[in-house]
Amino acid sequence: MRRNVGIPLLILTALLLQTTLLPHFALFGVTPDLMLVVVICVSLVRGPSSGATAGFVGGMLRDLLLDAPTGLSALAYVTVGYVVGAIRPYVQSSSVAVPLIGVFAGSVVGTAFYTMLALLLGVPAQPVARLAQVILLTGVYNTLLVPFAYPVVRRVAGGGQGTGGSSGRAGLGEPVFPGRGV
Amino acid sequence: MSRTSYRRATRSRVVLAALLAASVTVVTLDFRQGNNGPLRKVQDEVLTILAPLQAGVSSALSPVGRIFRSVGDIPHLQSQNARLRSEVSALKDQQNQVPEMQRQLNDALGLLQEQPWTAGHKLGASVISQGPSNAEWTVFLDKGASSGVAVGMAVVAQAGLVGRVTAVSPGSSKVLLAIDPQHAVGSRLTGSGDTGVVSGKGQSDLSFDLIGVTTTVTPGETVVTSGYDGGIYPPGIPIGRVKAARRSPDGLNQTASVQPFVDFNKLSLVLILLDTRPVKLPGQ
Repeated sequence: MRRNVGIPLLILTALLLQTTLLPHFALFGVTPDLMLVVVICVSLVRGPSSGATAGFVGGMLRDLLLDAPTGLSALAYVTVGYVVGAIRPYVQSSSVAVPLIGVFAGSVVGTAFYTMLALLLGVPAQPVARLAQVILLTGVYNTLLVPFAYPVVRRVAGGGQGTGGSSGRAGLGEPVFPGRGV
Repeated sequence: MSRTSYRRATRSRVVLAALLAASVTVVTLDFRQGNNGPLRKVQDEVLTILAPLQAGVSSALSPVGRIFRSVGDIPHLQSQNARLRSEVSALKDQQNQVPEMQRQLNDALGLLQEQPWTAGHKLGASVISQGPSNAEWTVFLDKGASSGVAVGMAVVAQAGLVGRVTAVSPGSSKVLLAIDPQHAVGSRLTGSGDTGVVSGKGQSDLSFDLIGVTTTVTPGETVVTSGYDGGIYPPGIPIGRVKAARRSPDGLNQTASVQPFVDFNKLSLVLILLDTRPVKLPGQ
């Protein structure tokens, strides 16, 4: 029951922090995309279904604050949320690197996907070189948020039957951050 | 795979398909309905709910903004001036926040001075948050429909043009900034009087397009709104200064880069010009 409330709260908190706190930390004109980080973390912790659903809710909320066509963020975040969770069981590692690489790769793909969709629909955009820079920088900054976001997501939404199959492979537990305990 | 995990995998694929379909439906709906559909109402509802939360978080981060918000309408600002000064002198004792608060104070005092292009009914507002995307340049203000704000109104700062209102809720509004690529304004060079369109280019300078090829464009020249864009903006609002001009690739016109007067990275206090609304053309 707590988990059912927890993830929507995480999404709402991500949206609020994204619009009020994070713009103050922008570098090179790029703000990290906390919503995408939360979606990917949920996907890593709870699996593809939860990740896709979190992507839909988070993406829609985000879209409703934008002037670009509604539903584009939802499309991009649903896809990333699903794919990250679907790949996770096949990664035989419990190390810190998994959420870091997952968030980086997911952020680059998710942001690139959204950018492409917006271009396809004719939304006026910045020069292409700058778009590529934004996509890459978003990936990097999102990864910097992982040490803050991932433990919180795991605490709130952790456990559940997301990552493994029923084949009993115990080694697919969540990565351990050195010095922080589990 | 065991039966359970096969069912689980199938179920997750069904969920994915359903969510993708829902997203595409929303995109199509939004595309076809534009500003009149039910999605518009949902957007306004979300704004209504989120804005007080954003204002709360933002308030905790900005003491001067909080005081300015309580000041209210411009006509009353003169009488509130003394109170603002004494409160800010108390705030000035907070050493580590002085530079930021000094800047906001200067913004507020600057807005108190009448400019020729801010004549008419206007409303002071505070920026409570920014848009969530790196691809859009928008801010949210703490004044909305209940204060008389409507979609399409021009928003300015002490230095010049900021943008226009694109969404309203009872207590807040969203402003599309002049540096956003989706923003365009009819503009005029103050030197030659030639007109064109200034559009945003994100982090780069503004782009002044469609200038006549025979026009002399002087670096450092001021660019103002022309008023020739269906009345979205009244004429004479300062936009920025020309940096350089070059011919377009087809040689038919010139394009100039314009450095905006307003520092869009440090927006905190703005004026909403309540008398401005875009003129609806027949058939719109």
